[in-house]
Amino acid sequence: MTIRVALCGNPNVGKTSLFNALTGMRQYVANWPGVTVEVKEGVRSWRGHQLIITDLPGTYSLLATSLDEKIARDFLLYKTPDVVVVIADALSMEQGLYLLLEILELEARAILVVNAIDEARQKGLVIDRQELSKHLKVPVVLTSALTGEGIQDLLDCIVSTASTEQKRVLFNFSDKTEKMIQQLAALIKAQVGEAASRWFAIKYLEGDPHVVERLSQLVLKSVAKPGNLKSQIARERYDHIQLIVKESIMAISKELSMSEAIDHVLTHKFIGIPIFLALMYLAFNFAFETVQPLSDFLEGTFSHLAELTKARLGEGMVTSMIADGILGGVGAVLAFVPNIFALFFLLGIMEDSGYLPRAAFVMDRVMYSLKLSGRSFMSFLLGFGCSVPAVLSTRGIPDVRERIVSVLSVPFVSCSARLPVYLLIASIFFSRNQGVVVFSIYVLSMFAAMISSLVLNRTLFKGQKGIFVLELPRYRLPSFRNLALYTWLRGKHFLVKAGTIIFISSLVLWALMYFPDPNDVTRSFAAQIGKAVSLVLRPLKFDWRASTALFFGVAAKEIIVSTFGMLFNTQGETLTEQLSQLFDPVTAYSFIVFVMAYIPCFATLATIKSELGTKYAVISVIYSFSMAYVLALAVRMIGGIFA
Amino acid sequence: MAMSLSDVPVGFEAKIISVPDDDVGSRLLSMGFVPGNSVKVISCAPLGDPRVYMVMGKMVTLRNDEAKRILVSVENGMEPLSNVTDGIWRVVHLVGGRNFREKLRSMGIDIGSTVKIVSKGVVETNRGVFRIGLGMARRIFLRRDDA
Ligand SMILES: Nc1nc2c(ncn2[C@@H]2O[C@H](COP(=O)(O)OP(=O)(O)O)[C@@H](O)[C@H]2O)c(=O)[nH]1
Ligand SMILES: [Mg+2]
Repeated sequence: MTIRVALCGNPNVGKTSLFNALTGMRQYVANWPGVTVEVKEGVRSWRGHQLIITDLPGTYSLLATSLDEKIARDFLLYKTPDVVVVIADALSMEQGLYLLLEILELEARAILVVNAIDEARQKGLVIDRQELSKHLKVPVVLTSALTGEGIQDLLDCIVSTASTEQKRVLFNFSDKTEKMIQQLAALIKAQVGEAASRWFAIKYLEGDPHVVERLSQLVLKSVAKPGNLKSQIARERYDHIQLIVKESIMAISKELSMSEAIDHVLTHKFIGIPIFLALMYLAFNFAFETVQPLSDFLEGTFSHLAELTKARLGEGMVTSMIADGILGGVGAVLAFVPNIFALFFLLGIMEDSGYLPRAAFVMDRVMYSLKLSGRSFMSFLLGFGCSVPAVLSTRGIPDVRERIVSVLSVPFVSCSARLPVYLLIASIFFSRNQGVVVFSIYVLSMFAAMISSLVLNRTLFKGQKGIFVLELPRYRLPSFRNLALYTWLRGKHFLVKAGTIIFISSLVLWALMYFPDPNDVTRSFAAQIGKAVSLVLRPLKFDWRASTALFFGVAAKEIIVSTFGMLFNTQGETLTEQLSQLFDPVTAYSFIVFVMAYIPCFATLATIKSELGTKYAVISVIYSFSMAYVLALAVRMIGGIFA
Repeated sequence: MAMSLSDVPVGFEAKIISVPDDDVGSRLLSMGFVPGNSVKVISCAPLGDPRVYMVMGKMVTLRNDEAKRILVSVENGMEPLSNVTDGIWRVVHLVGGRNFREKLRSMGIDIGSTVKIVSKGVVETNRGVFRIGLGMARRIFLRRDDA
């Protein structure tokens, strides 16, 4: 039998970790609310059954107030999974139970999972599973996604629950509330059917916009205004929950002393922001300087290989294709793999420990003056890794306006693919303060994203402000497995890119440079494109070679490095020596600023298009190009004063 | 008596009276900001906004703009001076820096001192009678002094 299972719960309770434990799939997990931005599916066979498991985005209630929550809720409403596994956090179950009560109103076959039981035990909490089950009338399983405890029980429980009768386990509200629900249900019945009428009645009283709209034809105002019992219903559910929790948990010690102590320092009134900046600086320093020898070694290896190929195969088209095209193009990019892995490793630590939402908290006030919230700041931070997940993560932002502004601004935040360009340029022109220069670009990119938000808020949307309601998860020691997984999954993406889009572009580029005259690259097709583009970029003093690189770099930013690799791959001199003649330091800096800001890569544009539509993808292209142009020009002018 | 959650000082606990009647309110309700529940102010970000609150075992951030719209009452009979219109009260907590305290001290208001409220915003201390602005009054916390 095939059983369709949905995992749902509040953000950060361990849904993705459980999903991985259940399916053996390697979905990355994070200690950061709202990281699961798409619905992920995995399959597991268990005792002759096939379980199709879906990991839903985190939600607090079915009254969807953000896109994330809408995705979760629509899945439950319209895809009607066979079993709904509701996950609650062992250390603060109440909010999870609240969601469970709401889901039970949908008359789903539900299982309650109390996760992070390892942490509960450490705190001396004893959770009585029988008692919970008795009160809630659903099966209860205690699990730890970390140690694997209870996973098999859960699989068994899913299978046995799937074969039980669909039963109505309804929570009874107070007499007064019930009476109103029943009055409404009687009126609604004709439109939505007997079975769903109770659910619709409750949601109407809670003021669910979706339901209120659907029932707008009916005259219900005489019974109650929409949203009339919003607080009352929540109150009654929580009263019930608090009773249950009291009955089924022993030795409550709601101590968060450790988290509070750490928070006292990391989110401190005065030193919170300096600490954030210092941590970021340390992280980048590690990613760029500590790991650099490895990158240098790889770069040496690739150019050595290219020379070896030329020596072995002799001059010719095939040799050139391998040595200049593939080794020069892909190799130039692969040399930066260690830096990129190091960067992801550090981002992983920040996410997994629970620090990032704190950073959002500390920075919220700054974001507020841009009419955004700390929530967008989290998406911005995610953008340091890759713009694609960062754009997707904006789905957790409740406010539509804020979401659009964030999507259009996230690409300014410097992703890891742009790193090779900075490192290459910085190592040549700013070899003494390479770390500082690269860090300055990262800081600048964050500023660019913020300025962009401000500009968009001023022009597209006037005046409104976002909200900022975010749960701060407790601090956790990042598990090595999780970190390795995170680094590998994100880094792997980069390797795959090197093997596909960059490989292919390198070949195309090589061909465009090789023909029509292999001996004179200045007459090549690529050069002709570059010369045309350079007409536009002339005020920035980017010559045709830089323009060619920028042109092809739109596909993926690493290709800029590949292009340089190929343009300058003549014998004897290394890329570094040749490049040093291309720019003066001011132009070099304005070049990397331009690279930081200009046109999002194809993958990001495709994501923006699928999230907001073609119109916004086009806006993004024009907007980011103008922004890059202005910024680079500003660098030129300011640099011109000092130089 | 009711006051805004945003006016409750860090470290204090309050009981929720009501949340705003809109989308933000719905979200707050589901996270545990339910009338009758208690909420504790854990800490504040640089510049005093946003702040972290603990509600039913979870730490949740709220901006003062949102917190302002949540009505609460501070527990065990504490009231901000801005809520009080008469009677003898003891000063139990002051929210502010050294200058603020210094200024109050010069008016005879300090933690532990007893004051008489003449009418809304008008305070009689051992140094005389003073009118106190709403901004300041919100940051002075009193408990009724029955003795
Ligand atoms: N100690 C412990 N940590 C857990 C457990 N389950 C999840 N975590 C951690 O909690 C954080 C959030 O987990 P995740 O699966 O991303 O939560 P989601 O947002 O619900 O998908 C991660 O840092 C996990 O490593 C557990 O059972 N025990
Ligand atoms: Mg997740």
